Amino acid sequence: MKKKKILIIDDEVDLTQMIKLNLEATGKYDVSIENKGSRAIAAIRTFKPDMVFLDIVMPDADGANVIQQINEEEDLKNIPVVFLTALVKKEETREDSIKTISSHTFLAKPVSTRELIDCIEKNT
Amino acid sequence: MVSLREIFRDFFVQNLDVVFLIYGLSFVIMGISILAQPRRESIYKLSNIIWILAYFGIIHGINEWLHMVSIIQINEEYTSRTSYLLEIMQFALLTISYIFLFEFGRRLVLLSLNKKIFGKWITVFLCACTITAAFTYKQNWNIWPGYFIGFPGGVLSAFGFIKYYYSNKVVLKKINLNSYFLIAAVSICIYGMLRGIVVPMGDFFPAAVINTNSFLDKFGIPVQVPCAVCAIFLAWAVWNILGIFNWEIKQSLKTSLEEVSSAKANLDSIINSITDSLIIITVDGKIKRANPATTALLGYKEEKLIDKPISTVFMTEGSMFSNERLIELIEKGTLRSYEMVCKTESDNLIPVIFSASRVIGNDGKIEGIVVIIKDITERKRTEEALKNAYEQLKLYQSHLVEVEKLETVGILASGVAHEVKNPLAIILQGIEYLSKTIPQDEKNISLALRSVNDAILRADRVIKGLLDFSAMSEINISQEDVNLVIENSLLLVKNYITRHKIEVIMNLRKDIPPVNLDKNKVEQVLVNLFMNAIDAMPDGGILNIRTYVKELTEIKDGAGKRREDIFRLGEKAVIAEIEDSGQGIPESTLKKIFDPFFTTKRDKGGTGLGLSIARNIMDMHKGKIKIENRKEAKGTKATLIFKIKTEKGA
Repeated sequence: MKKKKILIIDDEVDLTQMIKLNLEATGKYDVSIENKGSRAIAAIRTFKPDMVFLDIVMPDADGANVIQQINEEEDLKNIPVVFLTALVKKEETREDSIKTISSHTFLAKPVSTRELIDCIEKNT
Repeated sequence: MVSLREIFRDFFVQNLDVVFLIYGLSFVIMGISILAQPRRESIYKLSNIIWILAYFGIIHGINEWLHMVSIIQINEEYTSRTSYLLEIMQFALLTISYIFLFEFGRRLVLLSLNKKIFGKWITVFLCACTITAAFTYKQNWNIWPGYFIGFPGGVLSAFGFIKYYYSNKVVLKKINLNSYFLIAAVSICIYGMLRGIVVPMGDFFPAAVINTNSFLDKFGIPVQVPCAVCAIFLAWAVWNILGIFNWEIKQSLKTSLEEVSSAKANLDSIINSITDSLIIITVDGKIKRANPATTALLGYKEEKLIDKPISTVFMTEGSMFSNERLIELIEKGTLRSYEMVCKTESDNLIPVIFSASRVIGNDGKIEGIVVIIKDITERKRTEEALKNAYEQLKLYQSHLVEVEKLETVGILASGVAHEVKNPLAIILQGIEYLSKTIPQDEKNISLALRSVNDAILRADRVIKGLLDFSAMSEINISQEDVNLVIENSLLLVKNYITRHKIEVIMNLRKDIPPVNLDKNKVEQVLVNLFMNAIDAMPDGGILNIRTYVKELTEIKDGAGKRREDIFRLGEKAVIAEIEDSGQGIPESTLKKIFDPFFTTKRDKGGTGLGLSIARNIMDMHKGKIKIENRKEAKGTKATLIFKIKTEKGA
């Protein structure tokens, strides 16, 4: 069985590494990391993931912007994106992008591996 | 045969003394009645000179009586000495009386003519002529005053009367006095002519031809008889003319009376139309008068107030309005803006402003006290409302400060949450990785890992609470049945309830209307309250839950008139009450229970955010949460008040 390709976009380097470790330990997933929000789209294009975990608050990019860009690209918009955020509050993302965001699933940090796996299985 | 004429003549000649008596009497009476007549301040100029006529009358009358005496003397013992003395006296009196008559006539004419054509000199001149003539002839003295003064005096007076009558015709006609002026004029004219021209016989012209004797011969009666008739007529006319002054007095009295009554009516209408209550009280503290505003205010009829002591109406700070106060008032003179309470007929108390001042009469005595009272119920009410508004403002301000505090906490919380959650996530992921890779047979390792895991979850709870706190503005409203929400919430804590041996008594009214609320958030509130209630009863107890609809009347329920008040006074709201039978909350703690991070259960993992969040949630619903100790029993009562009809846009 082919491993599912998971891309994690988050500026927290340690966190992305730990998640990568935990997910790959299951043997079911091929995990890639992108710590720069600004390179998110490029990373998606090169890696072509089955699913993306996307942080909302990053120093160089806003998760809401990233998802908008993804949605604008014909070849990318069908990739499921799950937000991975330390914010429970939706309104912290910009007003005009709330709709786009709110149609997506949120995972609140700290997130357990179990939750991540459940989420992947549900969305792919 | 004796003719009728002779009989008359003899009768009069023999009774001449009686004629003189009547004749003199007429004049004297005329004189006295003039003098007795009050005529001060009369507008008629006649009043200024009529006294002269009075003196003429009296002196002339006495003179006639002297004639009477001389006649009697002739009949009885007559000595030439007494006769001479009488003659001189008669001359003097006659002259003086005629001077008065002339003077009266002169001035009367002057009144109407208003020109000084007859100066005083004429009187003096005529007087001098009389005396000169009398002393020249030394006989028949009494001829001369008649000639020189009496005759012109009579004619002048007659002329004066007529002239005066014509110049005052309008007034005199009105009071029917015109004829008397004519009678007076005629009688004084005739009298002057008879008395002045028909003199005692003398040996010179005209006394030699026209004298008393020739008159007696020609007319068959003594000249004194027509003279007496004239005197009577004159006296009668003058008596009536005096009526002018009576009339005048009556007239002025009438005018004054009219003025007084119109002044009184005026005063009455002023007093009656004053919008403030006016009460007049006597010095001994009895009500003398009360205007319609008073009767309207107090409900008494005026008749019921009259002569009642003022204490029936006034009270000062609980006690009746005492006489001491009245005396103090009388001594001070005025009492201004004194707050007092009035008692109405139906025993209602009305707060009033009382102002009073004494009324001092013309004689300097205190006649009474005028009291003005002003109903200040409305003002008191406004004051009260203002005070309440101020209290509420203070409350609102403190609430505002708190909200601000909470906002700060909220902002801080979201910042902290974000910064803390990432490390937490890393630790969690790390632990998970470790627990998979490190062999689990090592007991202590797995214990350590589990402890770290628990710690992460606990830290996360705090952060979640903080975030809830800062995420308050978002609610998801739908129409819900409060009873259903309560039942759901109760399900969530069912295990906890059973474990603590709590008996639940539900009293949920079926007729409560649906309420717009965020089900999840309100459930959070209810769970929080249930948990608190259960925690308050560690050894078991009774949890009372009830719902009902109530009309809000109290400020502490958040009901008021201000725009910021959540509820209008009298507005209906859905009430949910949760009562425990625990120990209750100490007053000092009660004040702080809504403060964020305030908790009495820190050792049991309490974050101190539960009730803060609960209150924020209720605020978001435009509702209210209240926590108080039960009055009727031990324990605490939590009340949630929900708006039935939400405002537009809410």
